[in-house]
Amino acid sequence: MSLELSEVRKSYGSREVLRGVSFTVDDGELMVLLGPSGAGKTKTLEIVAGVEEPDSGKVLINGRDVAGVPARKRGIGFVFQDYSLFPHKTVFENIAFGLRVRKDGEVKRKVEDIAEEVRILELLDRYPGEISGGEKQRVALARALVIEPDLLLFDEPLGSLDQNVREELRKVLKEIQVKEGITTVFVTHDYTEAIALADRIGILKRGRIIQFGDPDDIFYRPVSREVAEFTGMTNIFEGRVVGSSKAGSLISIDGLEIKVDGQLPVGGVTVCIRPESIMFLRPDRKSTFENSFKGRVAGVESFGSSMHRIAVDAGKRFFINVPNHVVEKMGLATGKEVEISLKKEKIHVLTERRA
Amino acid sequence: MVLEGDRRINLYLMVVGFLGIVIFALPFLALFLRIEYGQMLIILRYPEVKASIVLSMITALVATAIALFLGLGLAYVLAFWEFPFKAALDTFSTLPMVLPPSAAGYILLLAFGKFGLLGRPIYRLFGVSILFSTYAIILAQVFVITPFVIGAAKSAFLDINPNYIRAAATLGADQLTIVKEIILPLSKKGILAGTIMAFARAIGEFGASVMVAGLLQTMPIAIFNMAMRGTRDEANIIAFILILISFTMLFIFRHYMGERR
Repeated sequence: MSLELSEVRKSYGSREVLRGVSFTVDDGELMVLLGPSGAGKTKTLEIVAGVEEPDSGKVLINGRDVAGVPARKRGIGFVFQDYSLFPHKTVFENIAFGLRVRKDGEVKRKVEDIAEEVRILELLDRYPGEISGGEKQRVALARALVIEPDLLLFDEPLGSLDQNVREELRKVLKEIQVKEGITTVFVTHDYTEAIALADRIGILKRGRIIQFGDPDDIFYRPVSREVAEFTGMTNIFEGRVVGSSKAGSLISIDGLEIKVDGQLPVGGVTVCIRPESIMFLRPDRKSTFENSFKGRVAGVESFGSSMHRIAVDAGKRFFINVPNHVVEKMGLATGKEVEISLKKEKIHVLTERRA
Repeated sequence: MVLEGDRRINLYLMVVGFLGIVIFALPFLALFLRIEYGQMLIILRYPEVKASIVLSMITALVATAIALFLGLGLAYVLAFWEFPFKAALDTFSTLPMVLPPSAAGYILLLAFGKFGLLGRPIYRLFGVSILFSTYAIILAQVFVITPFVIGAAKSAFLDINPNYIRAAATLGADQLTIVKEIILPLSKKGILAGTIMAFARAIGEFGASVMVAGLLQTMPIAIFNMAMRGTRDEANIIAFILILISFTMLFIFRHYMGERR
């Protein structure tokens, strides 16, 4: 099933929550709707699910306008941010609910099958009040999946879980989504989650999609400083184009000169470099990349379970993500003299007009 | 909690403690000392006493059932619907709780009496008036107690996480299923507590009923009449029964509200 939103608007009084949201998710794709809280992400999902009505605009499921189709007939599995398991029903009854209202003949078998798939078989007789957050999440997933939905919607489902449980559930979720090939919209404010899951990403801010595209587009080629800041682009500098030809351009960032691809108009630009794009040079090697700078480590902190984030002063302060083993091998510690280098094609430049 | 004793505060607390006992406990003591316990079973068989107990029980039960029927629907509308003048309906459905009961009875007369707004056309068409009958007493009680059911049910409905209702809808449940499977089970205790309060209030209703009851006597009306003409032994017994019922209702109410927390 494909999903298309076209110019969807929603206001409460004078407060515009959605200001013309449009995007398309192809059959079997997982789209991540990424944005800060209050951007309108939940409202977008609720309108797709049919539990809220848009003021204007269209929602098309498989090309069919679903205006006026009640939520119960849309065939959508919705996993809520707070899980919303029915507190007075057991885990079994929660999962069975959608099958029972459909008068399905194989309730027991289907509930047990899905419970086995998300590994909660032993929880079926418990009440939601008696299980952990991660387990509730699995139950909510099972409850949404068991009705064999055409479309799955997730509203920040991993938000309140701790890191290990999150990473594990993310894997489970992606596995099932790929295996079943269910078109999915996943809402989050966490760009690392977006990278881990998305086929496509839409950045939603203040009720509007400000960029829509493949993860690579969003993360390496943001259309604005706003998107760059939101997607973990740690190195954003204002500079000036000091020389440009077809072969490339030279940008000065307060005197630090960086070579980039492509011809640019002379004037102010914004330079964006991802923290994974910068390499530490081994002392015995010479840089094969176009840009290299000498500097000093200004700070080291862990970043996720397998990475560190290193701050380096090299004319400007750069933030660089490197795997733990590199930190160890190169002895990266505060005060150490280092040389960093980066390819010119890894540098994204926003000209003033676009920024 | 341990608080430092202050002599002035302690003195004040001792005085109010004593006054509290005098005001709240003494009247009950006065009644219990006056009751002719040996005569109780005989007095209970007096036609006037028996009739008032039967009338009170029947009217209060029927009124509570009607209040539940009306109150649940109105609470649902007030909790889940958005419509113009909702606040006005909310206010009107709460008003009887604070309205002086005799004023409530009087305006019921104006509406349903033989010459009343609705009573007059009914009397002309059918030649009957509901006033001064058992129906009138039930009507008065319904008027006074329905707000208790509405209030309790509405807040119980509003306590339900709206995502439960959304989840049920996305899972394919229609409105009737949502009401039966989600809304009512999750608001059961609140509704029960409201119903108990409503019944207790119906049993004790005096001011509004007395205006429309004519010669009929519910227990509270009977106490008034008996006290006025000086047949204290009967009044004592009826008061005793009413206290017993109130106490039981309060006990059940506390039990359910306690469990809810």
